[in-house]
Amino acid sequence: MAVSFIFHIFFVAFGIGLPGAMSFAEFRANLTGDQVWIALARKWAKGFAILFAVGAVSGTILSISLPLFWPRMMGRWGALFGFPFMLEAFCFFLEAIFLGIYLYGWDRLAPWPHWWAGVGISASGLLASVFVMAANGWMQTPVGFTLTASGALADVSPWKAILNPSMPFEAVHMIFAAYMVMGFSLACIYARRLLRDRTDRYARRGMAVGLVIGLAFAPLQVVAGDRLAVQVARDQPAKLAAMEGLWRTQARAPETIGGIVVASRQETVGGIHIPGLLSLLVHGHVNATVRGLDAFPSSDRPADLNLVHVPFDLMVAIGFGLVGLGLWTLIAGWRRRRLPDGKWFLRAVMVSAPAALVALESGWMVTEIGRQPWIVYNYMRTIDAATSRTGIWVWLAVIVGVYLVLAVSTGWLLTLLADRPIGSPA
Amino acid sequence: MTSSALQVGVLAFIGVGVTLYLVLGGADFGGGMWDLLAFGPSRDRQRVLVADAIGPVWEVNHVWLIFILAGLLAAFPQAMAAIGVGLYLPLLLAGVGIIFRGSGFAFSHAGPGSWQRAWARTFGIASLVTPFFLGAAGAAVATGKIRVRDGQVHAGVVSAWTSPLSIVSGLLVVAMCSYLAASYLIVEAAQRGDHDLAEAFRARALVTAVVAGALAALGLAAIRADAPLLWQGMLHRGFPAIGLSAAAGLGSLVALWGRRYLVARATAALAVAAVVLGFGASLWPYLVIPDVSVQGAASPASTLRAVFFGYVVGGLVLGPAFWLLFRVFKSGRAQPTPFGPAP
Repeated sequence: MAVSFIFHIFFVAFGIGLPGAMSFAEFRANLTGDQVWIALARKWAKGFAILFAVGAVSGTILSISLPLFWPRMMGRWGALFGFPFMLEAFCFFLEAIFLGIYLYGWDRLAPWPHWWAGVGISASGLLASVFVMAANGWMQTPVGFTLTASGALADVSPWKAILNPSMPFEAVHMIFAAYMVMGFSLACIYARRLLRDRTDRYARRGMAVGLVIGLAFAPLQVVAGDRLAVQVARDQPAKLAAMEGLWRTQARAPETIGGIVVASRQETVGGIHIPGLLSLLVHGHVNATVRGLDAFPSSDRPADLNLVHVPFDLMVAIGFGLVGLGLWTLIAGWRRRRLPDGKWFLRAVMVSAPAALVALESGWMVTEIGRQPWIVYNYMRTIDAATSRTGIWVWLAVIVGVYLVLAVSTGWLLTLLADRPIGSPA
Repeated sequence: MTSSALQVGVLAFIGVGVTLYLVLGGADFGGGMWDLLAFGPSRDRQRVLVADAIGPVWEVNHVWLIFILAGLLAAFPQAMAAIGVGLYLPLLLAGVGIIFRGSGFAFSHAGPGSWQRAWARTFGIASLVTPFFLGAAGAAVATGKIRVRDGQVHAGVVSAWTSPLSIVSGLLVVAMCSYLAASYLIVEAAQRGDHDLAEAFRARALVTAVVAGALAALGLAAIRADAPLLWQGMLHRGFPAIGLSAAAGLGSLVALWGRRYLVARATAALAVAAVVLGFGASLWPYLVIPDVSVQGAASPASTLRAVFFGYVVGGLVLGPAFWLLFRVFKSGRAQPTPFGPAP
């Protein structure tokens, strides 16, 4: 299931982000009539069509997989958890309709109505992602119900479930991440072309759009991540402790950069410890007490602490690295009033794309592995939610295999698309 | 609204979703089947016609399944759990089929020739098997092969969905999809002035209509033999809808023979809707015979209200959007290449 998700989230990033780039390019094309903008808009629309198709099917599989792998969670909590998915399905439906109109209507609709269809794609995609984040957020901070003495659900409110405390922070963080992955991926593709031919106007402009989007969101993402961490510290303190590798509950809690968690010795070794910084970051003052892992029984903590702490630090490091890339771009480009195109700069841009993707996947590892052992935080453990069927492992393997085929094929096809010169068919 | 009224209301929406999935998405599946089974001198033109017809709407069509499953999950979670455990295999297989159908279609329109052909074949095969698994799984809830005792689901991994009724239902869904697709494609071909192609699809439609009719009759026999509770439900509640379905199906065949294609399509859609209604009416008050009832599986009224509201608002938004999509693209003009313009 996690494997499905790892693949799906990559396509999601493009599903959310690429229509934005596409609409921007089309906007410029409509205003200026410039051939390069027109070509970029059309090429990105084509790439988007492929990515949306694959993202859509991987999402369908996830929807089918949920009740198949987690029937006990669905049975008990479906009344709360299912509703945001239903709303997401509607948004998704709408997005698919706009997509159909957009792709097939290019030469039929007038330019501005066509552009609005593209805006419709972005808007419904964004709304869908908010609802999906509401569903995940509910798993992290379950609200909208009470439990009777016998453990039965009462006072069920699916609307309250959607407006759970995690939702706004998760949604913003994910949406920013999607735009970053998309932006840097576009920039990477075009940086590769620019390395071969600096005069390629099409590549130069494509890289500019990608970079500007990615780099604009990078500092915003640092803020969004910070806000999310504060919320996690409040509502899922065990997860925060795991993220930070913090063992002892203490005031003036240190921020640990790097390091490996050694569970048997109950310490985190090898990192740089900055005293007081964690207390400051999550509670606003240096002397605040931050709960460490020792505040929770080991059965209520994630089992694989390094699978939470290491991805977290990796994600943050990459995030700051991308901010750094932004500064490099600003400084180097300001003097010459154009985007830098030196060999090392372009190589850094090319690295930014896989880096952003690693950050995205790491972030999801942090939140989902950090959520363990719970599938509904504090209410249901993952092991209690899983299907009792034993043969399911075979199918897990099948799905992984299928996704591998899909990922490789999509990657190959998109590379082909990117390499075709402007103005060629297919 | 009372809780039971809400339950019926939500089920009605789910039923509409299932019907629309069959009528619209089913036609897409059928299109894929005709692509796979294209033969004869007009083979290439058949394939182009299918691709052009499916192109604008296929993304939209396969969202129906999520729409149905998400509503079921939110409104009748216990039923979803039973289905999830009891029918995971056919649903996973259908899921894999959907993956390959979607990506197959996307990939078959870009890239080198041999790559396109391989993916096109994948698309075709997936289009054939996915409706079979969905139909077999759908019928399985009525066969009594999925039991729930003390919160535990008991069902054979394969036997739960391979009873005679399930097999016949799966085949019937395949036949329905290919018939629906063929009947649409006749009109599409005629609109582009390709009357040979229209005749080719007419012949195909006639054959599949007869096959579907035979399977439907077989299905009734299977219900009588294999699913006594469903049969009882049919005798008491479901027979008007089933009768209507038979009449509409026959009417479609007659209209097809007489080349009245609009009537043929309308009656085909009516037949499908009537089967869904008849099945639902016959299944009532169960969701999974015999241990999961509508009442027992339902979420609290607050959730049912939210789901119902969601469907109403969703319908109000999606209805016009759908209409717009179909109007712009089925107005009969020749299509540009799928996946947009040549850059």
